[in-house]
Amino acid sequence: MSVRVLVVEDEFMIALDISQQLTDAGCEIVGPAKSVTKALGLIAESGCDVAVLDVNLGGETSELIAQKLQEVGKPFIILSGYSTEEQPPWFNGATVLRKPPPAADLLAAVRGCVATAS
Amino acid sequence: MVETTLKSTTLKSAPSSDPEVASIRRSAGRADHGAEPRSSAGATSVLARPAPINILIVDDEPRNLAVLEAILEGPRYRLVHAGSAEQALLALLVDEFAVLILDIRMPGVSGLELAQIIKERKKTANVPIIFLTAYYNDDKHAIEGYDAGAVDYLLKPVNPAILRSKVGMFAELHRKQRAVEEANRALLAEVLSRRHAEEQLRELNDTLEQRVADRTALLHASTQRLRAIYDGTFEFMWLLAPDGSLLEANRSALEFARCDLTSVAGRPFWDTPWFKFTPGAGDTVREAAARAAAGETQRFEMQLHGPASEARTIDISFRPLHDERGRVILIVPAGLDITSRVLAEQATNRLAAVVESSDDAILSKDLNGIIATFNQAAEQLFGYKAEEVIGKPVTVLFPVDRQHEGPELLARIRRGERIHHFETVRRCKDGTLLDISLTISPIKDAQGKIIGASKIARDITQRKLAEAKIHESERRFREMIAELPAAVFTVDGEGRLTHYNRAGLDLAGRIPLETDRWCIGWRLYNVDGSALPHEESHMAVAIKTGVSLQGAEMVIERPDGARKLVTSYPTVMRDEKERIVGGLNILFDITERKRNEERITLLLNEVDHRSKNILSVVQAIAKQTAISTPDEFLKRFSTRLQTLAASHDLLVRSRWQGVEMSDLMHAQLAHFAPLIGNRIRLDGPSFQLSASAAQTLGMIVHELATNAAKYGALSNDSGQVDVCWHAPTDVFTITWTERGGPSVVMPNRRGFGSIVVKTMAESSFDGDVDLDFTPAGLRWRATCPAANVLDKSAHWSDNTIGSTGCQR
Repeated sequence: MSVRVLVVEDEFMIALDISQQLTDAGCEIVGPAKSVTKALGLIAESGCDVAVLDVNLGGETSELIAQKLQEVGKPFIILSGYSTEEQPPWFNGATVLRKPPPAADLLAAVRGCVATAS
Repeated sequence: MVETTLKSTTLKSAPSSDPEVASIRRSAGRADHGAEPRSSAGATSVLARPAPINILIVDDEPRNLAVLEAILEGPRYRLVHAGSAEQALLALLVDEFAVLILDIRMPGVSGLELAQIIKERKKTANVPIIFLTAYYNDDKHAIEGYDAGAVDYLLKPVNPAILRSKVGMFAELHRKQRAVEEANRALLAEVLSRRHAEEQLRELNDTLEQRVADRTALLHASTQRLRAIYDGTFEFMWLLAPDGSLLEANRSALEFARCDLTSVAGRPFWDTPWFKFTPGAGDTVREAAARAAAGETQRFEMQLHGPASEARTIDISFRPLHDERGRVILIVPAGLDITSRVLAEQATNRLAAVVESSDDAILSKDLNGIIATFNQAAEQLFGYKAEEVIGKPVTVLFPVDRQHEGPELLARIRRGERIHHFETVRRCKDGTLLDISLTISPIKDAQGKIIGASKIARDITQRKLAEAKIHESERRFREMIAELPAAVFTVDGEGRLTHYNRAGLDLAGRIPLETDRWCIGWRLYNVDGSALPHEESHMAVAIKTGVSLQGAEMVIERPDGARKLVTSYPTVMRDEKERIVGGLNILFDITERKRNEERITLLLNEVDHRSKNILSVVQAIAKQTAISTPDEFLKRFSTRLQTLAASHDLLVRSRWQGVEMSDLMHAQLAHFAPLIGNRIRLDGPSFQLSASAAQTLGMIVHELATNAAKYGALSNDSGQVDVCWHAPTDVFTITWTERGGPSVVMPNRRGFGSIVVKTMAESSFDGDVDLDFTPAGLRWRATCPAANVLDKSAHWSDNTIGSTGCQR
């Protein structure tokens, strides 16, 4: 059974790229979602095994999504365009990938999450 | 006898309390007694030239008297005649007689009766009596005569030779008897005199012991008194042998050195505790003792240190004491501790020096207002030399119209008043009038009696100038502070606000209250938001620690709730003695600056984020751009990047605040610019796209235009493209309609272009996208809530809405 990955990214091209990379690696994509509302809807409707969260969703952040995922016990990977080392608490120790993420790093991170979860 | 009595009287009356003198007189008296022979010598001279012998002849018959006189005539006898018994008794009272020649037969008292009377009288009982008679020449009468005490009995006429012989015998007897008596008397006198002398001697011997006891007691008392003085005096006293060794030291001296006599007696004076704590003192004392031993008296002052090393100044003298032959038998050093006097003198000298060197004019006067002292500053102030005014009345310094002040001030001084800062006018030597302030204090002698006054005169014209200067500089300072754009306030040492400027009030948004301390702000907070009590604010800390601070930050809340972030520069203010008297704080409102800094940080983060996003997009575009040939890829990829760049240019130009729809269209269709307005028709109201919508729409328009140029309406010379948009309500619609191009064929492959115009559009706009490849031409239509694409800061602009109809 393939891994279901929720992709949350407001930038279509990036979401497309990530989705393709993950699909190529055999994952099933949930989304992509470009807003908090949509992402929470997808989690509720179809769920996921792991999520890739863009920090900045154009005026809002993925904080609420991360909280929800923690509630349901699903790991997530953070995608950040910010160069700062500082991490808000809600990252909660998740793997942080800098944009643009190399495909290998992204896949490794997803696999790492899945391995830890199972 | 008389002489002895006299001598004795002289002895007794010798008026001397000195028993020695008395004894000398007494011995002298004894010597006089030894010279008593003078009286014997006197007796000898009486014998050598005998006094006449008195013979009394009693006869009532003058003829008989004449006969007897004739018989006894001569220098040996003095004949006294008596004519009657009465006369005879009278003569016997007056003189002493060697023999009485008595006539028996006399009228009245007879010779026999007279003889009995004479014999009965003690004085005359022993006078020999020779009876002489012419009538009773019988034995009976002779016996009667002998019974009556007669020694002889002669009958008339008398034989002159017998009478002379008998009288001569009795005269001789009388003379011898007198001599014996004389000698006896002298002997008796001598005996009496000796007895008297012995008595006196005994008396003297008896009292001598008592006198010696009395004298000893007296001497003892006197010694005690001397000892008391010696030990009681504050003066140090010592007794030294001529060789300088210590014999005695009095209590004051011993107490000073804290030693007892036994521990120091016999030591050389210079090697005793009095001098051993003071370097050099021993040598001085050794020399002084040597000179005193040579008879010289010396006196000098020296510093001595006691065992506790307290320095004392001693006025010390060395006196030699001589015996009667002039030899020095003792050296008497005596010292008086005059430290306090020396200190007092020093203090007085110092005080005098202070007065003399004082910058204040100081003069003193007696109670009559006569100037006694006048210091240098007074000379400078008044222009008089001290010697010119000393001894003159102080009123020489008074202007004419102020002469009355003299007596008034003197009266107050006499009452013991002190006069502080009495401001008046005085006249200099050259007539200049000076504004001065006087402080006058009574001068008292050691008994506290007021004997004069000291005056301190200060030229207050200078002070007034200085005050004016200070006021001026203070005024300038206040004006300067008032004008400062920064908020400034000052506090005193207790934190009371003493001054603040307009900028301060503006910053605080209030007028400070009387009770405010340390800061003009209403409420204070630390930068982290915690409350900051006023007494812990920067100004308070600076004053309490004495350290000025630089640019500490805090937040001031105004009564209206606004909070201002300030940096403060509290400075501690000190007086000339470096005592903290208050502080000055300058507050800079850095709220705006801080906000700008935060905005810049935010922007930097945003730029960071966006550039990374764009790079990610670029990466994605590169991956999505199908690879036909490297040249083809490069061409397509670079034009797609140019699309991004064009949209980006617009966004940057609008400061990322959104892009006007028509501007976006013109930018994305720049390659077809000559066609715009004829083959490419743009129609729609002014509409401000959000940044992301502009980016997405830019890419869509680029893909549509590229497709049109390659396959559609713009691939020939006559085709047309209509681009219409409108947002009559809250729904945004945009259409791309081609006509007049070559016949359209549905592409068999779904490439990057279709992903962009269909999937990306739907996803980005959250709307509906229709893409129809009709034979007449490609039709693209997107509909979404206006809010999804509208720049949120922009307002609707309805003036061009629906101006031109669009094909749907």
